[in-house]
Amino acid sequence: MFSYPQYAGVEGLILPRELGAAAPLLRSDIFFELGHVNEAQHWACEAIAVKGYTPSNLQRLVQTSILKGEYQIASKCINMLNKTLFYRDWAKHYQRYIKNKTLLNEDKELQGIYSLMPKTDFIVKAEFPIEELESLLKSNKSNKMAYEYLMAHYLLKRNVKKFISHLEDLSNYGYDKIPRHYEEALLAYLSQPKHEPVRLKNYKIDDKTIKDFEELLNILRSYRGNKKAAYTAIMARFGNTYWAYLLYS
Amino acid sequence: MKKFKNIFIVFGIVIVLFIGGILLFSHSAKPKISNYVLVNRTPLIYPDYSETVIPPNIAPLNFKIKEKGKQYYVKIIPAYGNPIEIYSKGSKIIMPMGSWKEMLNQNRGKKFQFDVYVENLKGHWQRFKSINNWIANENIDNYLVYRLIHPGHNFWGKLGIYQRNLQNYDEEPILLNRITDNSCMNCHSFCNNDPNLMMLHIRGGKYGGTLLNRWGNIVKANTKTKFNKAGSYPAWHPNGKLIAFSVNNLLQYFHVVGESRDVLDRTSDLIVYDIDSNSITTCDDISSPERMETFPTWSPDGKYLYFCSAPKLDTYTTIIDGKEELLYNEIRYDLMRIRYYPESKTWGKLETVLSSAGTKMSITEPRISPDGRYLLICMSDYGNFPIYRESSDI
Repeated sequence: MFSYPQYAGVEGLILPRELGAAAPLLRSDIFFELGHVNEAQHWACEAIAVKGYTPSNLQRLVQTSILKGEYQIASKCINMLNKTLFYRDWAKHYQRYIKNKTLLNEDKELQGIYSLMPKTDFIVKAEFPIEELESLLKSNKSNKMAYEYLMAHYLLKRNVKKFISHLEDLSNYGYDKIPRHYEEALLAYLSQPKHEPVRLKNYKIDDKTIKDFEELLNILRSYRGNKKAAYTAIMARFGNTYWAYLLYS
Repeated sequence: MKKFKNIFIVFGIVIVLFIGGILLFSHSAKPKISNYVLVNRTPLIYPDYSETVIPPNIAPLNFKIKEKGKQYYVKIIPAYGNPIEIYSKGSKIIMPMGSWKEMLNQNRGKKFQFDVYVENLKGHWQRFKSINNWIANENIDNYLVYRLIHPGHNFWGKLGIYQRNLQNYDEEPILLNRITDNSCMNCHSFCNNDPNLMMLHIRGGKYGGTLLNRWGNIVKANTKTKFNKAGSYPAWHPNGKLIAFSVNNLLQYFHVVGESRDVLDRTSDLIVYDIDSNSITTCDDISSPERMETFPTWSPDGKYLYFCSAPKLDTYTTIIDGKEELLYNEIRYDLMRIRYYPESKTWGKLETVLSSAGTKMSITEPRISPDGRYLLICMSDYGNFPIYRESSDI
């Protein structure tokens, strides 16, 4: 993630609401993958309001409506897609789901989304959806994408303390090892004079990351801690790390 | 030239035969229903036109039969006159306009019935129990006015205020936003259902404001003052000189499970706009800081302003796990009314008409029948946005 300049900060994670009118379906895409189907449907409706009944807008409305069990809406959109030349097959495929609701269980994509859908209600806030991500996780602890977006949000916000508090949940999400940026944030945290102990069960920080961190500290020391003066040297060697983001972004 | 003439004649005959063929085969031949099984229930139809009272000038009540079948036959039997018969290979039942209108005209105040026959997939005809409906004596107003908008939640594209002729489904625009810089518009309202006294809101942009049409004289009013935001939900006083408005600071919010859309007011008050003097007035009882007042509507004699009100929003906030939370699903509105004296433009006593403490439901969107005998309200489990609340369904 930090191989690219993160100029937009947290707004680079999810298209902000204000820009949503320009690309509402892109905003819907993220909510859809997060299992946040109501919001995915909400933004599909915005897409229709702004861009019209385009096939992609209708397709998203079909998917979200089937997931929510709103078959009348799904049926209406399928009927519209059935009248097109290039989306007729797609429409016919999903039409089967309305007639035979158990087919949803055999659809890997939709079933995956369905398994992530929250079962208890909470309210969507208009601001950046940090509370939504936390609530999505509270509602379904195996929502890996929500976890990664939440962690990315904390990293971009430099909220290392919050990041560390969630790092201990890493084992819930099937990681073989600690992702590199997480290691970088963890080392930055552990290098603070006052830090809480971090329990990471079966994970350990990669030796290479520790070595890199020592090298970064050495570069900083060679410039007597003047990070401005060390900019070129650090960016040349560690420009794609979370450390560079912490120091210079 | 003669050769061309012959070609035209042959071509003409082919077209006549083709059209004749289409007409012949598109009308499914009347099936012989000598045997049928009686089904001891009424059929499922959509919309559910059963046990209703309809105006005698309403457009045909076309419907869809929600019973599986190969072909369908519907007999509409009035008290007087000939039945209307419709055969269809599909489940959509489209009624002929002329016969329908004739039937309604001849049967004001009378009952009529739909007899529905369905040939099931095994080829056996079934006859369902008759669906009864009644025809009122009185006509309904010919036109219904509404906003037509895509189902967006925050954004919009093309939209407009339209009218539909209830006698024949014809629809035409009154105002489209393509001529108002694509602005949003709504809150259209008529005084005593008179199209000569109409208002609507255009929201934002250089066209923004309250458009008032009084007998063809159209002006734009600005109901925003130093003390209040612009008015929202309108209610014309029957004298045509005043309009009561709610002034709402609303918040749209979304649920994660079930129906997504919801709205609440952070604050709201009522104001009264005097058209001739272009001035706004209010009184403590309809704009109390302790209450949220909304949904004004006048009694047809103009003596009472009915509205809904709930305790201010702060009443519903609480601390849960160290965080301030709004108990939005406990907000409930009461139905109120206050005496009004149009001559002196003064207010009388405030009364609670129906309390949510008694109904355990939130009361919203009151409307009083033109004869003043009936009052229609919505009730839902909470809040002031009943449209998507299942608890508000009839």
